Amino acid sequence: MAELQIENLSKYYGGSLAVDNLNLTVLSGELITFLGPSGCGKTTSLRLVGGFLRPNQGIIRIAGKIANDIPPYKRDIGMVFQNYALFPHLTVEQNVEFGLKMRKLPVAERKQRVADILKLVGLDQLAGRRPAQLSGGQQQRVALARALVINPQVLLLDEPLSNLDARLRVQLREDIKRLQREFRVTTILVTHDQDEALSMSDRIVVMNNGRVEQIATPRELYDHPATEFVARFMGAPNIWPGTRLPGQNKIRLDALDRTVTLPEREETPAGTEGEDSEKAVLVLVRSERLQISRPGPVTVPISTTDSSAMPENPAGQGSATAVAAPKTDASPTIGLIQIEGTIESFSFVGSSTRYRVKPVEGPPIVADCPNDNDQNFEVGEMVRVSWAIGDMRLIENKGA
Amino acid sequence: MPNKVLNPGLPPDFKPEPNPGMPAPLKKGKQAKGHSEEDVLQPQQRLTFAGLLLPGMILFVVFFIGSFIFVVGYSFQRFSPTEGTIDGFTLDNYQKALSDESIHNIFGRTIRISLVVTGLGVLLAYPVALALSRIEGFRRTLLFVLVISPLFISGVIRAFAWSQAMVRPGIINEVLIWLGVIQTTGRLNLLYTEAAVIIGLLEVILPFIILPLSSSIRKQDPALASAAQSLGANPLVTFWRVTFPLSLPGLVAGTSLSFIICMGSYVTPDLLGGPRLPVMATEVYRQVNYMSDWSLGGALAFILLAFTMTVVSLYNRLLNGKG
Amino acid sequence: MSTVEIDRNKVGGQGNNPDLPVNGRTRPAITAAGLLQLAARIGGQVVVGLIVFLIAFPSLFVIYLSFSEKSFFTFPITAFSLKWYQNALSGQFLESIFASSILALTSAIMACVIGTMCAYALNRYRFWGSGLLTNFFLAPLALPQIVLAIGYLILITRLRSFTGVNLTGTLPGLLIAHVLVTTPWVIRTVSAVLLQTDRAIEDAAQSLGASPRRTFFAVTLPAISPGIVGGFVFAFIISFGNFELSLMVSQPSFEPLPIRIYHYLTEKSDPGVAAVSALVVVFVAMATWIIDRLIGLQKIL
Repeated sequence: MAELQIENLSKYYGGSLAVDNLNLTVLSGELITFLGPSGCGKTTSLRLVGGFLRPNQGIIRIAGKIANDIPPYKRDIGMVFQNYALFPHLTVEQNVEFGLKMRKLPVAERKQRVADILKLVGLDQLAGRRPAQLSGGQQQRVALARALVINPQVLLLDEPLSNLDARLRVQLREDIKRLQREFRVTTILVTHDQDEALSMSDRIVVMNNGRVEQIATPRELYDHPATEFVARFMGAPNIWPGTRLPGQNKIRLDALDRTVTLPEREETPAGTEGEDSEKAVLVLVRSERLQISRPGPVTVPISTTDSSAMPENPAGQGSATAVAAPKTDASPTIGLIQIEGTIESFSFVGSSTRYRVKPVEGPPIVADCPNDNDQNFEVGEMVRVSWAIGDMRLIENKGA
Repeated sequence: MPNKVLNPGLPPDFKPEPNPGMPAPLKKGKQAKGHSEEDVLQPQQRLTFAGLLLPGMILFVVFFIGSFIFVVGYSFQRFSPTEGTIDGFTLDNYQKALSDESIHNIFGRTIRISLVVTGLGVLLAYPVALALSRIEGFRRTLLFVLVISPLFISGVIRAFAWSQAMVRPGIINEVLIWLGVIQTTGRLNLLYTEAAVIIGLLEVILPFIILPLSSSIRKQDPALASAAQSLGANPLVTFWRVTFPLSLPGLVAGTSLSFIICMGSYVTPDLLGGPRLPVMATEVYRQVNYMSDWSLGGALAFILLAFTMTVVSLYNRLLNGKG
Repeated sequence: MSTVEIDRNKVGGQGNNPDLPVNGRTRPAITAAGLLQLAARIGGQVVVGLIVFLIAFPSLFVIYLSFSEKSFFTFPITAFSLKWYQNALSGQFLESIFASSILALTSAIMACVIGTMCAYALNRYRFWGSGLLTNFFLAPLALPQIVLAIGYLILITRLRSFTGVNLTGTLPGLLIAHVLVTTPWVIRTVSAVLLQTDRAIEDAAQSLGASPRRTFFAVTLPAISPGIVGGFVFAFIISFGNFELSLMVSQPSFEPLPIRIYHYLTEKSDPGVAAVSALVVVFVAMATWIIDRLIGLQKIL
C-alpha cells in the first residue's frame, strides 16, 4: 500500500520514443490501467515502474521515495506476467513461497502465509503440483498468489488475462479485482482489452505512441473520450467530421450535411472556445444511443437551424431530417436528429443487433438496438435513425 | 560468412523474438544509440556480459584464431628439409601447390567426390526427411535415432565397417550374388575405389542433409499442402510447387554442410580409397606428418579452406537470393 | 491393398449417410486412387527403409562382425563367440577406452561451463555484434576439421619452442583441442533451451526479491539444466569420437580410442576392432536416446 508517483517519465529505444513524458499519480490502493494498442508504450511504462528498464528521464516515486536507482529485486513490487512466468521446476507451493524465502522469513510463517493465500485463490488442493500440471487459469492464479503473498507496495499486472479464453477471462477479472480490494494494494494493470480496462479499473490511462491520450475513470472515458484515438479505441463506430461555426454553439455535420445547435451544457473541446473562425471538430455518437424506427409521419415540425441541405434531398427517398429544438428551448436533450436510410447489413450479437444504415449521403451509421422488442429490420429496408442531440460529443479534430 | 552455414540445422529464426510492446516508428529525432532495447547495456550488465564471455573468448581467440594465423603464416614461409621452415615471405608453396599435376588430380578428385556425394545425398535425403516430418510418436523417435546416432560414431569405426563389407568375400558381394546381380566368379573389387569413398561419405553426410531438411519441412504449415491439393494439385505437383520451394533453406544448409564435410574428410577416403586415391585432407596430413613440409601442408589447407568457403558462400548467396 | 478395398466398401456399404456420394458411382475412382496411394505409400516406406538401412548399416555390421570366432574376418560368420570382447576390454584398447573417457569427460565438463556461460551471455544480452559472435563460436562446426587440426598442431609446436609449454601429445593439448570442437555443441544445445525458456521467469524472480546472481542459480540454471545435461552428453560423444584433431596431436603414450583403432587397422584387422567398435556403437546409441528423452534432439540439430 503506497502511493506511486510518476513524473516526466521518458524512455527511448535507440532513436525512438517508447514513453513520452508520462505524468501520473496512482493513489494508495487504487487500480490504474494502462490501456492501448500494442507498441503504445504501456508495457514499457510498466517495466519502468518495475525497475526492469531504466528511464532516460523522469522520476518514479514509490511511497514518496525515489525508486529510479532501486533494482527490481529491492523495489518491493509484485508482478504478474502475461505467460504466467511460473518457475517450471518448482511446485505451486514453492513458487508462492519463493518471494518469502528471498525475504528470509522464518519457515513457519512462510508455510502459514503460503497456505493462507493458496486458500484465498482456491488452489490449496493443488499445492504440490508443478505448473505444467495446471490449467492456464490455475497458473495465472498461482502467479497472482505469488505476487500478492509478499505484500508488495505496488502490484504490476502485465496483460495477465490475454492468454486465457474469453469465459475464464471474465471470471478472473472479478477474482483479481476482489483480491486487489482485499489487499488494498496499489495496482497497475496493462491491457489492450477495453472491456477488461472498463470493468476492473478505478482509473484508466489510455496511451498511444508513447503518449498519454487521456486519464479518466471508466465512465468518463466511455462517455467523454478526449481524443479521436480514445473514441476509436473504445470502439465508437460513429465518428464524423464536422465544423464548429464561429461565434455560435452550432456544429455543421459535414458528412451528413446537417447543422445542429448544441445544448448549452455541452462542454467545448479544448482549444475551441472563444474562437471566431471555423473550427474542424469530430462528432461522436455512440452506437447504442441510436434508435431505429420505420419511417412514419414526422411528428415534430422541422425546425432546422440551417435548411440549406434540405432541397438536395428528394423527399421520401432516404431524406435526412434534422429535428433540432429551437434555440430558446430550455431542455435541449429532447432535440432529436433523424436521418433516413436503408439497412445495409446487420449482425445479431445476442442481447442486441448491430445495424449498418446507409443514408442517401454520407457514411454508414452503425446502431446497436437491444433485442428486447420484436422490431427487426431486414436488409434493404428503409428506416429512420434518430438520436438525441445531447448524446453527441465533440472532439477536437487534430487531423484537420 | 553466411549465417546458414554456420548454424547448420538451426532454424533461421535463431534470434530472440523482439520484445512485445516495442516502440512504434521513430517519432522524435533523438540521436540513435543502437537498434533495440538490449543494445544499451547498463554498466553492471556490460561487466557481467564480458565476464561470461571471457573464458570462451580466450579459448577461441588464442587457439581457434591462433590456429588459422599459423596455417596461413606457415603457408607463406619457405621450407627446407634440413632447417625446417625459414622466416620470410614467399609464394613458393602456393606456386608449387597450384602447378603440381598430382595435386591438381587430388584437388579435382576431392571436388568431384564432394559434388557427387552431395548430389546423391539430396536424392536420398528427401524421402527420409519427408517421412520424418510426416510420422509421429515412437516410430518417429526410432527413425530419428536411427538416422542421427551414426552421426556420433567415430568415422574410423564406420569406415572400417564399410571396408569389411566391401572386401571381395564380403557381405556386399555375397548379397549381390544372392540377388543374382553378379556371378560367383565376377566378384566386384569395391574397396579402394572412388565408388567406395562415395558410398562411405554418403553414409557420413546423409544425417547432415536430412536433419535441416526435415526441420524446414516440418516447420511448414501442413495446411499449405492441403490447400494446394484442395486447389487441384496432385501430390507430386504439391511437392514440387509447395513443399520443395519452402524446404530450400534447409536444403541449402544441409548441402553446404555436406560439401564442407566431404571436402575436409580424412578417415573415410583414407580407409576406403587407400593410398592410391589421395584427397586434399589425406595429402595435407601426408605433407605434414610424413614429408614434414608444414609450409606446403599449410598452403594446401588454406587453399582447401578458401575454395570450400568461397563455393559455399556463393552457393548460399545464389539460392538465398532467389528464395 | 485388399484391406483398403474392404474399408472403402464398408464405408460405402453402410450407405445410410446421405452426405456420402452414391456408392456405385464413386467406388471405382476411390479404389483406383486408393491403389495408387497405397502403392506409393508402400514404395515410399521401402525406399525410406533402404536409405535408413544404408545409414545404420556400418553400425549394425560392426556389431555382427564382433561376434566372429575366427581371428580374421569372414562373411558370413560360421562360428560365433564373445572372445573378442575380452580382447577389446584388455591391453591397448582398454588403455585407449580409458584415455578417451578421461578426455571426453574433462572436455565435456569444460565445454559445459564455458559453453553455458557463452550461450547465456549471447542470448540474454543482445547487442549489435552478438549474432556475429554467435557465428564465431559455432564456426568450428562448419570448417574442414583437417585445417583446424594442422593449424593447431603448428600452433602448439610453436608454443613449445617459444615458451617451453609443451602441449603436443599431452592430455592438456588434446583437451584444449577437444574443448574447441565440443563447446559449439554445448552453446547450441543450451541456446536452444534458453530460447524456449520464458525470460519472464527471471523478471519474476527479481520482482520477488532475488538478486541477479540468485536469480541465475535459483531459477535460470534449473530451467536450462536439461540443455546443459544434453550439451554435456553431446560434448562427451563428440570428443569420444573425434578423429582429425586427435590424430594430429596425440602420441602413443596417450592415444584416444579412434586413433588407436586407426593405427591398429594399419597393422592388422581382426574382430577385436569390431568388438571395441560395437561397444562404442551401443554406447552412442544409448546416449543419443537419452538426449532425445531429455530435450528432444530435433530442437538442437
